[in-house]
Amino acid sequence: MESPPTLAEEIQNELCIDLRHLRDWWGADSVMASRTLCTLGLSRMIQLILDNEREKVLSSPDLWLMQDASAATDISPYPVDFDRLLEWLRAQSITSGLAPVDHPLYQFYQKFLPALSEWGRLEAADVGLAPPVEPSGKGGGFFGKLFSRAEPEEERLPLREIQDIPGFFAFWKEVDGWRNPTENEESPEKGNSE
Amino acid sequence: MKVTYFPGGLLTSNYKDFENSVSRCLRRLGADYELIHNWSGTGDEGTYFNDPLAALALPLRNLVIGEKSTRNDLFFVPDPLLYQTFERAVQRLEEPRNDALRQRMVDTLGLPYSGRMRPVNILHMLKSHTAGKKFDRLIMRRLEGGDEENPTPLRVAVHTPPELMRPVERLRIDRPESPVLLKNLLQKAGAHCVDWASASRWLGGYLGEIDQASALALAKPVIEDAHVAGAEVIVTLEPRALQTLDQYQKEAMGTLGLQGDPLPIMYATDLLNLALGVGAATLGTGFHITSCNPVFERIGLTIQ
Repeated sequence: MESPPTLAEEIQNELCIDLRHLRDWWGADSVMASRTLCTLGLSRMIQLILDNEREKVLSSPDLWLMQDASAATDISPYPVDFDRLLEWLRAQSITSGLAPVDHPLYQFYQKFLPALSEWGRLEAADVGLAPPVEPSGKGGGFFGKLFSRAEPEEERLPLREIQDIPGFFAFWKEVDGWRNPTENEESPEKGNSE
Repeated sequence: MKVTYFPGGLLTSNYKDFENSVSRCLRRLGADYELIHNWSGTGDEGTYFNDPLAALALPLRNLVIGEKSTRNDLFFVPDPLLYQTFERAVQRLEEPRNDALRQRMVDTLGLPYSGRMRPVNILHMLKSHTAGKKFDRLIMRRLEGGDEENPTPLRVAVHTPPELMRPVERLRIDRPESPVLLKNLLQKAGAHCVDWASASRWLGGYLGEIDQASALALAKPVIEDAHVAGAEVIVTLEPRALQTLDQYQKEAMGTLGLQGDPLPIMYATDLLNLALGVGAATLGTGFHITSCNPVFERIGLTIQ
């Protein structure tokens, strides 16, 4: 009976990335500024992948913290696209239900998505980078606006259609529909967000 | 050379000053750009980190609109993080294994996608519009103080965000570890660019805004390097890096035991704007926590 493939084997099959040569390579940590924030760091992460510590790797918030992995790619003794590797690991983490959903960093990046489906564009308040605009005390309607001394609020309208160019929301709805599990084979990585 | 301009990435809200600085600088350098209509957000880093499908679909929609509504081959994305999102998306869309997915998205959009447009960042734009002697002729103000006989150049610590230079094998715009492009421009304008160790250090992107401990850990070495190198101002091209450095400089100095005044933090395009004759009052540096007036005074400008 065949044993299931290890994490390193899956990476080799899916991404054609062979990490075996990098088992004792500690150089990645020295060039990545994010090492000061991470618990594991890229070098230790590589070791854990080779040791098939699937749960430790996929549940680590470091996958979302190591955003400067391209610096390690530059100095790697073997050509390895670490950005690609981390993308794949993050997708695996989400589909396997191991993503650190309680971690503020994960929750922060999740906030970017609903804002898009609502407005089509991102504003600072949508992701908590600016205080939300409070509605004015005066009532709405024609007379409320007429007698209100406050500056009229800028209304955020959904994107307007222009001739020949399909609207954002129709496209977004269509793309969102592709998340159907039966059609997942055509997604860019094996998994999509939950 | 005309380019298609994509103003996403909070450039119309949080980072208006960056947008203002970049567009002013490009206009002064004679760059011509067209804004695309009906553009949509790409979710910045959120889609890239959490939703691989949206990370391809959303940039593709904007690229398709760019191709349809403009005749340019270059898609200018001023925001460094968003530029990375576009660069990655274009790279992934070119891959044969994503052919079916790309076709499906294009069919949904009902518009052709030829892959004609190439995303470019602010470094590409500066490089192409300052070639040869053109930049020398445009300089109206030297970034130096003192009298004409003994000028004392402004000492600048230039930070080039790593997001603008990577992936190295695709871009090859500058040296990733010791970038020179911005340095050369500022030196032509009369400034002295100090040698320092944090010239291309990553400053955390959005992390600086959401987590104080991370921001401080990332900003401390940069602040220390700039002070030790004897810089009078730190310049960068990443709005989040500017915010992180500006916001946490005093705290970092206290932790490191550094004496002296905090350094002004500006956009590199702000200094270029000054050299190109833009007035100090119109730069939009009034919102910075650390005042930039010492820089203006140093080069002989007075602020009302």
